[in-house]
Amino acid sequence: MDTSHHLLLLLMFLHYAIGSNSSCVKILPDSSSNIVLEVGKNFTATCHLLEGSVYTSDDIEWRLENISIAKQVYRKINETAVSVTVNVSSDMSGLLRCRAAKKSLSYAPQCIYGIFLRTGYPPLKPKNLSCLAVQEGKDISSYLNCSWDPGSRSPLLDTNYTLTVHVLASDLTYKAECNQHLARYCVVNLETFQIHMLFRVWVEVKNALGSERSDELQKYSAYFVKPNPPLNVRVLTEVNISTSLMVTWKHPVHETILKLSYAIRYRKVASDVWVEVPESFTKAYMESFRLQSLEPYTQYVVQMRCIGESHSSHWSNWSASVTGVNLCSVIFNSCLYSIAYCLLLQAPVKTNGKILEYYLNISQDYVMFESHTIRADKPRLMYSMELPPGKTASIELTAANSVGVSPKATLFIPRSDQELPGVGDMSWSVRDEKPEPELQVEWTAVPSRPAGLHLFHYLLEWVKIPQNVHQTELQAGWQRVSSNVTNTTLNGDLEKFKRYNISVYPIYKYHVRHTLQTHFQAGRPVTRPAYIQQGTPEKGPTVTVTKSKKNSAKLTWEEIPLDRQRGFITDYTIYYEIRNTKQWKSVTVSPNVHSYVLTDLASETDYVVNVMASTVAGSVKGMDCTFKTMKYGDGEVEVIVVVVCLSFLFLTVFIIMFCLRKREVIKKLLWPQVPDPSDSSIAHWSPDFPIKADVPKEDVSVVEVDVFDGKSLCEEDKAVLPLKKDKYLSEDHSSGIGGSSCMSSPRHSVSDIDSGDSGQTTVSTVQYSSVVAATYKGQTPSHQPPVFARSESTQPLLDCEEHPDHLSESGGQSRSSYFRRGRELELGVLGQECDGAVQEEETSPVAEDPPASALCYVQQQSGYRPQ
Amino acid sequence: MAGRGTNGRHGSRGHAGRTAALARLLHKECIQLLELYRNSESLPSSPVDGGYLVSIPPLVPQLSDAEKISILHAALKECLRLLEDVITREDADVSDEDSEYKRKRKTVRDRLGHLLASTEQLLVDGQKFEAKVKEELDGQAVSGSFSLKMWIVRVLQDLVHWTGQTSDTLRSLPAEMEKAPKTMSRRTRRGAEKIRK
Repeated sequence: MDTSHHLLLLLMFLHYAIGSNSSCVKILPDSSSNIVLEVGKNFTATCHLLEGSVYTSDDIEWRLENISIAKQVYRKINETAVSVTVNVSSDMSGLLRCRAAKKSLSYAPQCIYGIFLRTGYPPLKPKNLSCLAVQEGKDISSYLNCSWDPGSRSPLLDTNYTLTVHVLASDLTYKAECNQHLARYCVVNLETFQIHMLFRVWVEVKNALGSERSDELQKYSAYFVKPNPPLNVRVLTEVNISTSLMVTWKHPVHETILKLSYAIRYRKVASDVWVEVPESFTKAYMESFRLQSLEPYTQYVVQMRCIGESHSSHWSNWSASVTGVNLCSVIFNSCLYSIAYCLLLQAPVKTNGKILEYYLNISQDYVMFESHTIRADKPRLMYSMELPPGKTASIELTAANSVGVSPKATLFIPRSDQELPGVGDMSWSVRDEKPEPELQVEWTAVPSRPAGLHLFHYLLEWVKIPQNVHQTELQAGWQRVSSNVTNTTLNGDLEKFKRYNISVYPIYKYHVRHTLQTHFQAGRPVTRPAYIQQGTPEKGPTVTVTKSKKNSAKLTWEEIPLDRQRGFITDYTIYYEIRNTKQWKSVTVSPNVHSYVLTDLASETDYVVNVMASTVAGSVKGMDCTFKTMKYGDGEVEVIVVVVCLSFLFLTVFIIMFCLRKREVIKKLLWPQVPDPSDSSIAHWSPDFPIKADVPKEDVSVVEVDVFDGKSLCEEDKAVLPLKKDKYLSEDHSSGIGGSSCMSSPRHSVSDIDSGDSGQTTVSTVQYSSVVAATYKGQTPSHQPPVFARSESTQPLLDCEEHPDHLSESGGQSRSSYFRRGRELELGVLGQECDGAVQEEETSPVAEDPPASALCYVQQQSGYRPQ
Repeated sequence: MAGRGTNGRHGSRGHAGRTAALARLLHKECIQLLELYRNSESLPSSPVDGGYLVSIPPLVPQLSDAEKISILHAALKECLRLLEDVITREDADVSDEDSEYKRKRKTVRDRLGHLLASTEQLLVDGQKFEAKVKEELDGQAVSGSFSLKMWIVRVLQDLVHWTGQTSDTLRSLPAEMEKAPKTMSRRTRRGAEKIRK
């Protein structure tokens, strides 16, 4: 037990010893937390060397955030203490250290001590404290929102704002705290808003350097209330009371909570100036008020707000605008003017009542021409009247309401050849006045006028163009200007971005002697288009390519419609590029140009083009248009075609010439010369042997058949012929002839066909009749020997060509020949032979008789027989 | 805000006028509260018989205005005690959900405290009147749900009645009753602290 006690004491001693060594210096003032200093004031800190320290005051060094403090501000108090005095600045927050160390090398441990400094300002007194509790439903919100001016100087320190509401009667206190450096408002919850109670409200601001308290606001609670605007504000027209409107509303909050008084203001729809009803008229707790002394038949806008009785609360916001129109029934005394032959009627500026009708009388040469009664609900109308040359017209217009008729307004239209002079020149400009720009018109006075004419005044007319065809009313207006004025501001409500034609008419007044009447006549108008404000066009021009060539293209675009131009077109810019290259080129043309030819284009290339329209306010591009340039230029194709045609022509001529020159050669090549048998020389010979009486039976018969000669066929067998016509006429039958082009006649020859070989006779048919003369084993014919004709034709027999072996085999016995026989002979032979052939054909089995071989052939006993 | 009155006077009536307006507002709100309770509990709109719970000395014409106000003030204090008792018993039985009835009930309770504080400013020092609630009507002996509701209706009826009486009395006060609000007595301040809790 004793041992442990001694050990504990030893540990305590060691701890003390180590602690004393580690902090052998100390700073005063000292604090475990930040020491807060006020900016701008001096601060003095003293570093004390503790007893037993090996250092002296000369070894002490002050540092603020690792920066040494100049020795000049050190003050040596004694051998163990050194103080330093600094003027506090806002950036001095940080660690202030006192360090004791030998300047020479030493093993003695250094002593360091530090304190944390924080700089700032004491809070300023909050000023202009005000509080607000808004209406919430039918009650007042329990949240009181107070605001104040904390001053512009930031305290740099954590600052606490405490808003306090003390309800005097109930002695209840409600507080809210806001901890921003520069809090400007705070909201306190009163649980239930204490109506009709006296409040004391103040705000207290506090930080480490001090505290301030605002002036107290001691008010009854209603003072802090901001009610809602009056409910259900309505403006009612009073039919039987002229120039007044009845305004009605509902209280926004019950009078037991806050008794209100009201404020009403009104203005004409077309005006921006509000007229406020004197508060003395509306301070009563009421729910209706009659606005009086208003202009009749005019639209008014009414707004209301409210405040606690005797201004005991905040004003509410203004209510939403409500519009009303008042009616009246008093006669008017003003009328209007009209222009030229197109009569434009405009309602009077001051009608003095509700206009019911207008009466329009038109006279020509002082004789009543026509009259109209115009309904007042369509006060703007147009009348067209044809005025013959040399005639004058007079137009009178009156207006009527329920009380009476107005004075006449007269317009005199002179003869067309008596046009009166107009103003010298006219120009306009826009003045950027707030809130809307104004159109200023200036003109020069009438240079000279005929004697007897008195310039009564000028008339300025503005007509919106283009006129909407669907609109019955003419969108125009005018105003009169005194004759001694040459500039004025148009008071019309001109629309922005719409074009108007502004015209200045001098109106002349003169007396007609013979009628003693006074006439008004308008001089020649001077008109200029104008905009009150210009904008960029609604859409760009749509461009089309009307003609595309090899290196150029013609572009055409429509003019943007007037109602879409929204300003004067200053120029058009044509942009074009080779497709997808994004290398745009541009050409700018004047606004009256609507087509342009692009040149220097590449051939057979896709181009993209668009046109941009510009006004002073901006530009708008139109749609892109793509086109492709041609491969050939103008005339190139024609040249090529002509050259080709000429070449062909020359070639053709050359060939023809060549053919003509070499026709004999060609003829020989194409048409081998076939000797004409008629020109052939026949050798007559007689056999040396005597003709025997018994003529040997001819084994050869020669027949030439013209199948196209109907008569050559068996006349008596015509009934049978149709059945076999196909067989006879089939061209297949001539194939065996050899198809030589020299054999132009489609003749079919039948010769030397053995009846037994009827199935194969086609191929063995000989083209030329062959004449074979043969004697049988040296027998001499009994009658006069026949005369044989032998052809000298060199044309070879096709069959022989095809069957040379057969030719050689039968060469000694048969020879081919060509000769013509008389038709009579042929018919006789054919008639006899066809009989036999038809008969045989009929008896032949159909299956064994192919059509290709179905020829009319002659049965022969002997003759040429193909193998 | 230019033109705003800063004297804090309520027309020509001053503090009494404000207190009368407050009593009138409270009377209106008590009627609304009774209506809300009847609707929420599906009770008939006919009044519950049995007279008023709070009894006070009769307001005979011989009493001065100050005495009448003092008597009514005592009655209102009893009404507040009863209303707080109602709130305690209702909140013990019914869930803590928010409803228009509960919001209005809180408004009436707070406003009644405001009216008590406001009327106390009109009291003449030294005049003390007491209002009583018979023990059998105090609600402590009420058992059963229906009986409790009937008792609550009677409490709310009393509120309507006594706030109406106070409103009427204050509105009939002559101008000489007007005086500036005074600093609260220590007793009242304690009461206010209680109300805040």
